[in-house]
Amino acid sequence: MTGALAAQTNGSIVGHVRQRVGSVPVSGAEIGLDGRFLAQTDSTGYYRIREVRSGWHVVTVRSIGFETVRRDSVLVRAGQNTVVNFTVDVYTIERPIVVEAYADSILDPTVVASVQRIGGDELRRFPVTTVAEAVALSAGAVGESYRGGRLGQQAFVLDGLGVKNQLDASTGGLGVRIPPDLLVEASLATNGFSARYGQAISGLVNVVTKDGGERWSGRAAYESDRLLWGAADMGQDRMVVSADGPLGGGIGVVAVLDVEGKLDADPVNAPPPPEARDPRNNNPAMLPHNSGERVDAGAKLRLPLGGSHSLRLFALRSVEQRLLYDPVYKYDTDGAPGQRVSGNLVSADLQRASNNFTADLRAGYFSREFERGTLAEQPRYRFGAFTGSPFRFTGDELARSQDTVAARAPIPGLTAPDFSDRTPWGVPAFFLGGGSAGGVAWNQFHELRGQADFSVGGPHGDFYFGGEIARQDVKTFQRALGYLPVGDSVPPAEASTFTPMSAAAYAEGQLRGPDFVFTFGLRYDQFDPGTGIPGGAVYGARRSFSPRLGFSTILKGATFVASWGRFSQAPDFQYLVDAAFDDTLRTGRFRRGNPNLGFEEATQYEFSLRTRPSPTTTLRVNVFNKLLDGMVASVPLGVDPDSSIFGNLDYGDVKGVEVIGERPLRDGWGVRVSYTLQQAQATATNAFQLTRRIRVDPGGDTINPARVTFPLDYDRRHGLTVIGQTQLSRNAGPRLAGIRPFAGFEAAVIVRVSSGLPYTMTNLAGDSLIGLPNSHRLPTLATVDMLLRQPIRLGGRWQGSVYLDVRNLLNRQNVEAVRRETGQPNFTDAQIQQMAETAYAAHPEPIPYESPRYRSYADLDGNGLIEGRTELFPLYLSAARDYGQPLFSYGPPRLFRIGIEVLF
Amino acid sequence: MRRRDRSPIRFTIVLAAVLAGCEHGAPFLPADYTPSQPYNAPPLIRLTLNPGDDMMPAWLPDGEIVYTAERIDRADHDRCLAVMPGTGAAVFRYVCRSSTSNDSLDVFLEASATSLGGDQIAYVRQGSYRLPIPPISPNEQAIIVAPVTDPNAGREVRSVPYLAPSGRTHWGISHLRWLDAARLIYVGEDVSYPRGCSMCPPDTVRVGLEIAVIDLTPATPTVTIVPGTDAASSVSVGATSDTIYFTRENDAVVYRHVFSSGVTDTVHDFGGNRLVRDVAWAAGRLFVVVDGLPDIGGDVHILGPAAGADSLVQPPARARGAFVWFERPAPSPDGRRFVAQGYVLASDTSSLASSREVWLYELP
Repeated sequence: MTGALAAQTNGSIVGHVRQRVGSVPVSGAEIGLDGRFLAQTDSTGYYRIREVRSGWHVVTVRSIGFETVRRDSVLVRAGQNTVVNFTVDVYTIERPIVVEAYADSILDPTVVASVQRIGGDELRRFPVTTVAEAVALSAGAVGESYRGGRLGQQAFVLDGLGVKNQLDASTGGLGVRIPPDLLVEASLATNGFSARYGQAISGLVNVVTKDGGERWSGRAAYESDRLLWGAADMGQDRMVVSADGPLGGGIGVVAVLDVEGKLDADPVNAPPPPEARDPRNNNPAMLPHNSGERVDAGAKLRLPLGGSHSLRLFALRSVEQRLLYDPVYKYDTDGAPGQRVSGNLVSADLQRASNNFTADLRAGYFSREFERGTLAEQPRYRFGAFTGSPFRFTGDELARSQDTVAARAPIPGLTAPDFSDRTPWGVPAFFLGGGSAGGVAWNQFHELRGQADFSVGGPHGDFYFGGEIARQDVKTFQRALGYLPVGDSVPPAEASTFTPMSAAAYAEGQLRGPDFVFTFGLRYDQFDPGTGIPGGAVYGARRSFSPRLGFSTILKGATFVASWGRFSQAPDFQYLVDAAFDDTLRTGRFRRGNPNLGFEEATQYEFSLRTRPSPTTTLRVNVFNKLLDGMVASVPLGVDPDSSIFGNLDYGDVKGVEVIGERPLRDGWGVRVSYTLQQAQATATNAFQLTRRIRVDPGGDTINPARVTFPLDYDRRHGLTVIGQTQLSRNAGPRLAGIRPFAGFEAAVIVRVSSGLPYTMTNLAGDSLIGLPNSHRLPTLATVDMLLRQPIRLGGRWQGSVYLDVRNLLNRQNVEAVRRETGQPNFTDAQIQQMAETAYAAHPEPIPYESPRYRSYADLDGNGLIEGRTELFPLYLSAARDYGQPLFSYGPPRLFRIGIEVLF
Repeated sequence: MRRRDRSPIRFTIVLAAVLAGCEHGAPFLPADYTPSQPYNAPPLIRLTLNPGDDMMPAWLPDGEIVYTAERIDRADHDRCLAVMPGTGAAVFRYVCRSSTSNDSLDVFLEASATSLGGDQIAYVRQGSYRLPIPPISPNEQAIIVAPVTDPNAGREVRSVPYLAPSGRTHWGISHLRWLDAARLIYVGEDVSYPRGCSMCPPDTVRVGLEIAVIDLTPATPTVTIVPGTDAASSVSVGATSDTIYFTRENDAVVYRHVFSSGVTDTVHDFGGNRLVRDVAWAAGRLFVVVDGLPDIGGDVHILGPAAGADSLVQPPARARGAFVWFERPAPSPDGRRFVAQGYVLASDTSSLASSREVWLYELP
């Protein structure tokens, strides 16, 4: 029976050694991995090497009386068993042979988890730029929602160390990004994953980074859309420099720098406006004040300490800063907000790895800082969208000092906005300028984590155990409407400082029978808000036990897996403290924090069938049902919506079927097709939504309250993803002028078709629902992405390529949001008319010649006054049309990148 | 030995340079939609057409025009400072107490910012609470000194009303001017609100009492009275801070006072039953408002630079059966132009306008 359940950074290498003549097993043969002999074959000629780090390795077999055989380029994936079989001759001449080894997680019953992988080389071949985009190709993924989980409910594991933005993952993201050039592989596990990584309601994103190779190699790449024009030029630049290699003494180093700037970091594909005077009419592609730049820098050092010990040191820093377009500030962009997120991760991993026992001691420090507000000064662009200096925000010193007393007064530097006079229409309506919304938000999260993992292996089973402890430090500050003093409708500033602690322990075993594998695990989690939160000390630590069970067997050439598991996840710490925010879209601007929040929980059942219809194709079918409970939502305490408090009151379930068929790239082509049918229901999509209840009243009786759920905002019923790739040989194509211009040409196409997300219809006034919540559907979404790459020979060890990356190749205007009262992306003519009438009634006064609002084209009688309905109202109508453009109802437009790279 | 083919490396470098060297496109930008030219051609240019009152224009050191504009687009009709180019066109900056209507009527008056004052602007700021029964007099009033670049970032140098060293109470301030970088000069006024009948709305009557100087040097600015300026109705600073020109209520004379000698003499007597209402000095000329009507204005006479010279400003509007009477003339430093608040009147002096406007006159 093949190898064991693997840790998240490691796989196993298994196989048989047989004589060429007669296929007689060779017992007692020594098996070496990268120069160290770690295992021996048993009487059946079988061997197994456990805890092999994901990546490329050299496997050698030697035995007295037989030739020594070495197999280069053995690729091991995390959590997989790579089969390498040897056939040896009775000679002693050393002769290296290159053979392709293969991993078979499809038919391997020890692989209980539902895992979808993408390798570092695939990231380079596919039209994806980041790890998040790559993981989003997985079946069951709706953006960063996996199998119906909310944003932020995924766990992130980097080289075996858990990393989590425990403060505000649901609204803020992780804060660090792994440069794709640092990756060996990234995978998404949606069920059945080890009890070692239990804190994930939705999915586990596992990333394994490179170790420095035995030879120096590197890459420098630059991609941009500068050569293009019109809507194809969106102001993108990206530069990547990476290198890895030996430093001597067995020390390996990897370093990557990945920077990107976009003049429009969130482009829209909305139709151009009909008004000729609207400046967007001639240039609908890019939005102003919407630029962004990011820097990701990572480095890793691997130091062998002798014998089976090694030390890995890793450092990562990510910074991203964005200007955020706000339609209200279309003509006075200085009032629109900006945002900056920076993250640092430093970790160390001391490992002792032998074939029967592996121990990892890990320590990690993670920090993240978030700021959002009005910029103190507008940035200067030095090259493309790169400013080269950090954003500074008005009030940031006050926010960092968390001085809520001083924050009761208006924040110096913030001014109240007024109606803009810089619009083509001039009238005081809809658009603001001269000030900002006045919000100031800042938070800081630090975590020091220690983790110990052990694995013990034997011929019939493996046992894993370990634990972790993490101490966190949280500081937050929020102020809304900062240009006004606190009072009346302006909530006070909120700040918090607390030091929570989390801890976990786990034990997991896997027993292997002749034709089955039984996996069982138990995980203990706890989190303690600490004493910094009012009430935190009273409630103390929350605890949870999460068992896992899995059974797999092979039936008629297919592997059947049944698994059941309970998963617990601590809520975002932001829900433990008060939140003050200026939000015109939701009800109220204040939520009370609840230090008594407990774990969010899920129980998932899954049945999987995996088979190989042919030697080069695989087919996987997963059927799952996940029950959600204790999700955080907002609970009204009274009539005033601002009195809502966070509570563990949301519940729901997610059920679905995933079908994944794949033919890996072989003989010049490969394809992967994944289809997901999924239903995700609960009562609230995120914690800021109020929980919804309805009273069911059949026959006059009232049932109160009904345990009713509704489709979640990311309940995507049908999802189809087709990935096709081709790679021509080095001799392909015609010969022109002595060279073959298409030799080695690569192409990859990703086609995505999915049903639209649900939305809630309301009446025109917006105060009554039409039908149940989320009972209507947006139109179907479809995109085609493509990457074409042509290698270039540069001589010697140097290679290069030019490539063209196109997203949304067909420039489809995918509708991603509609107005609830009409079901259409844009306002109706009647709504525009009503908006204009209301605005005109509020300001019917004439506009004189000297006013900055005066527009000569509207002064029909030329008397120096725009007055009366005849002259004024058409301006309000045009302003309403301008304001009502459905900019964010559509997905991104077609985006091009032309790139060149040099590799050695 | 085969030569190494460097053409692909060169191609890569060139392509990278071309990619990096190209300019990016840019997002859309709004144009400038405001008028860039004055409403009409010189010599008499109407700078404002606001249905509300626009008054007390003055020149800023960089050649721009500042005046008090009634914001009829605000529910409380604040009277804010407005700044426009010196040749007329659109206002490009408003200075108000807040950017939106609020609970008080805010009034910014008597703005003065000249080279004598350096980079400072002085003005009178009033505030009145918006109540169901509006107050007759301002709830608060003060002289403010601030940077020209940020008039709201100023300090209060004198609250009003106050008891002057002369024993009189100054209930109002008018004709605020910079005497030098550390002193302001103005007319202290008595303000009353008589009613023509018991049910008639109150009228505001301002009567000049005397000319006062406020010294900003001490931590608490001090006020002194210029002797011999009883019943002053206007004041203007001459070529240096040693000389001022002023008029008196119900008088026909333009006076001059020299501080160093303490002498006050007559510069010009219009004689007869004439009435001088206002005086302003620039580049050796005196711009004097003569006759007309109270709170409406009168004709502008230019005295000088030659001794005895007296020319009447004749706006072309008069030829069309309507004319403009001016108040508060503010000549440019070179004396070739002046701005003033004015009323458009028919030839029988009945009003054709509902409000005061700001005008710019260019001398021939």
